[in-house]
Amino acid sequence: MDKDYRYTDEELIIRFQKGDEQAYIELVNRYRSRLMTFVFRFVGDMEQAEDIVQDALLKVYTHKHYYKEIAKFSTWVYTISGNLAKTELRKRKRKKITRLSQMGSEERDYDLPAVQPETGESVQSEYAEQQIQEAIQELPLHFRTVVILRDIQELSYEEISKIVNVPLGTVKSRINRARLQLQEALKEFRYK
Amino acid sequence: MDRYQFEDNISNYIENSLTLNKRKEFEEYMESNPDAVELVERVRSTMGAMKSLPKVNSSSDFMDKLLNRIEIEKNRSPQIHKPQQTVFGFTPLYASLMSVVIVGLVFVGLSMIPESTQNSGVVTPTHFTGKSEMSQPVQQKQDDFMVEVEEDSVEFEDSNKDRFENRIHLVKDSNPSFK
Repeated sequence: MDKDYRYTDEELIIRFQKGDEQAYIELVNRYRSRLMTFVFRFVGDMEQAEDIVQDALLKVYTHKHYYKEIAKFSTWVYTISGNLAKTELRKRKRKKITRLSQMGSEERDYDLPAVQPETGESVQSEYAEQQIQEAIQELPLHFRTVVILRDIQELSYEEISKIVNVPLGTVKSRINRARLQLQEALKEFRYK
Repeated sequence: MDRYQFEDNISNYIENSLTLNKRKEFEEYMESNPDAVELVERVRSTMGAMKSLPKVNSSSDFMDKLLNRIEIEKNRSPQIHKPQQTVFGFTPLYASLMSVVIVGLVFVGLSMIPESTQNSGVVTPTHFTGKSEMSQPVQQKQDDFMVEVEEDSVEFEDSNKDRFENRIHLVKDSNPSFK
């Protein structure tokens, strides 16, 4: 590959489809952090997020011929990652229900340890991040996906609409509702 | 503008995508509802907080793990997936199954048609012939039920004639005074 010229994502995937493995490595380097952020904010677990991103990038490798030039590469890869993350959350929910139903009643009475904010700026910002993360996790899945893609990943409404395969107006409305829900959850917590 | 419309337009207002008229209406609503101003500010602040969340990096061995998994995948299935060819939007398997079903349905349909209809070819409905619908079918039905008898029922056999003559005695035959 030419080192001075910066290929677009679409050019890279086409090169990869023609057999250039280096193009694939370049795509992984461009997207792994973006996808990690998206999936981690979505599932809320680092280990799981990494597994999902690996699965998504592996799918890009094994299903490279499924990519069609009509779409942006980012749309395709976000769609794959989003679908895998949703599947993972559904699996997790099912496991959780099974585990709780197998427990005795006395085992179920537990309290989650409350995380108290400590002094110091970095701890304070970590605490803020945790609060926001928790608020995101409370959102319904169809709100969560779009608000992460818009406010954290900073994608356009049009691209989000293509990723989630929902009309533009619905996407805008969902994002607005998600923001309202988030501000409600974070009302008592004053972040700066 | 009511509360519902106001809430619906908060993001559009913050992102400057309202028309001039709508924006004016929105601001008028905020002027008359102080809690609305606070809500807009809270949404704006939430959006800012979301944007400022730190980027998440993958672990240092991310690439090695991924390349290992690719190697495993290559060894497991040497053929990398390729999109299937389709026939009118159906996979070859579904297309062949559907054609078998269609041929089967046609065959069953043909076998259910009565033979007489198949042989006569064209069936002429009565209303196209111009004949009375009332008289013609009734006559046909009567003809169907009639038994075909070769002899004419009015004719007597000669032997029967003799038999009846012997049995019938007229009054004048038995009493001569009537003669």
